[in-house]
Amino acid sequence: MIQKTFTLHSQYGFHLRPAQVMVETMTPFASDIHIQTGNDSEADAKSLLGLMSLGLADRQSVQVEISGSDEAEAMSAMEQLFQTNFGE
Amino acid sequence: MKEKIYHGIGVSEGIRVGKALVYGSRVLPHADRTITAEEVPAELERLQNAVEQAKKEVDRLIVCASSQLKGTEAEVIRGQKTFLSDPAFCPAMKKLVKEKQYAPEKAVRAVTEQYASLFANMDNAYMRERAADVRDAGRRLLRYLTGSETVHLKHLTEPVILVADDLSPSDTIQFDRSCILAFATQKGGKTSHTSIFAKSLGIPAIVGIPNLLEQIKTGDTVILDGQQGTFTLSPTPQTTEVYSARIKREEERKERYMQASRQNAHTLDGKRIVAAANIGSAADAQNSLAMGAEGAGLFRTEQMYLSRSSAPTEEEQFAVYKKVAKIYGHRRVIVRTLDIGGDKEVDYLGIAKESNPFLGCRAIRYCLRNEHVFLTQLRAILRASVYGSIAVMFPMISGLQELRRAKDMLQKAKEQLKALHLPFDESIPVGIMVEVPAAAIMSDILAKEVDFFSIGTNDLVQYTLAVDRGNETISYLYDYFDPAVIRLIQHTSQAAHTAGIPLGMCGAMAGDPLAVPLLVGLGLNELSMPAGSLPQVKYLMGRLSAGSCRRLTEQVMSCRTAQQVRLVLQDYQNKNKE
Repeated sequence: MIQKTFTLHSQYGFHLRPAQVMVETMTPFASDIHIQTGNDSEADAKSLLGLMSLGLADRQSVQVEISGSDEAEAMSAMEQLFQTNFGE
Repeated sequence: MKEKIYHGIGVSEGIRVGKALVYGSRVLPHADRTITAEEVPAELERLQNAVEQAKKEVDRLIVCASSQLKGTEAEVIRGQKTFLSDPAFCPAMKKLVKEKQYAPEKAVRAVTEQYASLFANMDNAYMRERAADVRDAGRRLLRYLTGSETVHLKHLTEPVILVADDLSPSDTIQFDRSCILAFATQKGGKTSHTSIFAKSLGIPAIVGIPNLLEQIKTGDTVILDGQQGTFTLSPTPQTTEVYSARIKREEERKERYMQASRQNAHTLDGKRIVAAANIGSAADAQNSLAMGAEGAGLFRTEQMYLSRSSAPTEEEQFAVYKKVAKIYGHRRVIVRTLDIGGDKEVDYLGIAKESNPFLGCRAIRYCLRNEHVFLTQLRAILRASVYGSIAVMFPMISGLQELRRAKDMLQKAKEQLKALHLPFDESIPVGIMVEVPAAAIMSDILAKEVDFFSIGTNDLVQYTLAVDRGNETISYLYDYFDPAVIRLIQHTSQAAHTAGIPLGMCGAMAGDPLAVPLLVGLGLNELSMPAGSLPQVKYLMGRLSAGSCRRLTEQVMSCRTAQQVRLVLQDYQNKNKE
């Protein structure tokens, strides 16, 4: 299992489009991928509804936890997403 | 039963009397039951079956939607598919069945409501509308859980007035349209899916009627007035009589309009003005002829590019253009080249995200940078030109250099076809949309190098007044009766007439009965509008004299504000009432 903390940069918060991008990018990976926030809520990164329920705001930091056979690749894809602000 | 009158937002005009069909609102059996531990495996299986069937149905709807619906509507259904396959949606329901021994119906309701209220509480209007999509996905599951109880909108046998809490795209796509007289919903607003759908089909509708479902039952007699937004349940004989008289008057008026639509449009004193249709497909073309279209003043070609994963080939496009050309025969079809970008996104075209898309690389600007896409379309248009009377029109032209480059590309497409010995109309007329203020200002120069102009009012207003028409805070500024806009139109008209080229208009203004006398006075030669507006506008034109319209125009040109312009036009309209 690997973990990493990221800070969200998304001017309008984590709205539908970035969530969709994350789901589309993460679904092909076999690993379990979870996003956790400081206040103990957690969501499956392959679930649009789950991600939307987190109600993430701009500059919020989140912890990503990935475990499975392709966890390293999945984490680097995740890093890419945060670096490019989900292609915004 | 006593007469009861409800009020809502009338979103599509017309009065209908008929029997109500209450859709999808019945309280389902076993809805709030908990089950015993022994029942869990069987109930889980029932839920799983419903999930699979619902997914299959959505897949079918997506196929069906891409041929029948516009891009956004198909997208809504695709969104539902996302919800149904979401790991937090159906699996959460199963968990409730397993761990809390909820009946599947109860589990579906609980999870659906949880996410629907999540979306409903967001501060963005678009996100709030997604609540309806989640609920729709949930309703679909419930339908499969309860088996054959649902009304199949596809198999209605007699005309009904449909009454529902809310209607979703997947409900409306299934309508047998000949059997729906009108519809009324408890939820919804002016811009909700139901409203847009009703307007595009010309079905009278009222949305946002509070407490609509409290008393009404399937089979009750109702009267729906889509203009006033009043919905009468169990009307008294007197009320029915009042409405019947109104329906009769409305029908007579419609008949007068339809008669006018069968003749070529001209004014009382004989000035000929072409009344054409804005179309997006061969189906629109066919429909427009029944409404009296004398051609297509704007054939939007974007529809072919939307809801698919790669650009349409030359052959595919050729087949569509040819079909449309043949439908209109000798009547002119103005094909507008790809107007993509701005608010119309197409993934595979690789249009970069821009912070200001309406001022960015859209329409002709995109085409000039993507020669391959542009040439493919131009060749397809040219090849279709031998099957009817086709003209080609470039959107968003902002100056002479851009126009010349576009014309060079057309020349290149012609040469490519010549090399292949494929036939086309060598002298195909070439025109431009005048929708960028710069083009209107420079219209005297541009007129010398094109065969016609067509004023696109929607963008012209947006760019002239620097107002985003989607922004509700400033929508009061968005007005084609603003004197600045009217002056640009007048300037363009003078330039066109000096150069001896015809001037058309497509966009909302051309189909507005209030604007028509002014447009006649300004010297427009062609008005192109949604087919539904044609009968009334043609009727109206037949009652105008070009001379009096010119005098009206002089009066309008001296107005200082949009409000003044409206007052002058309303005054004229009242004096010339039918």
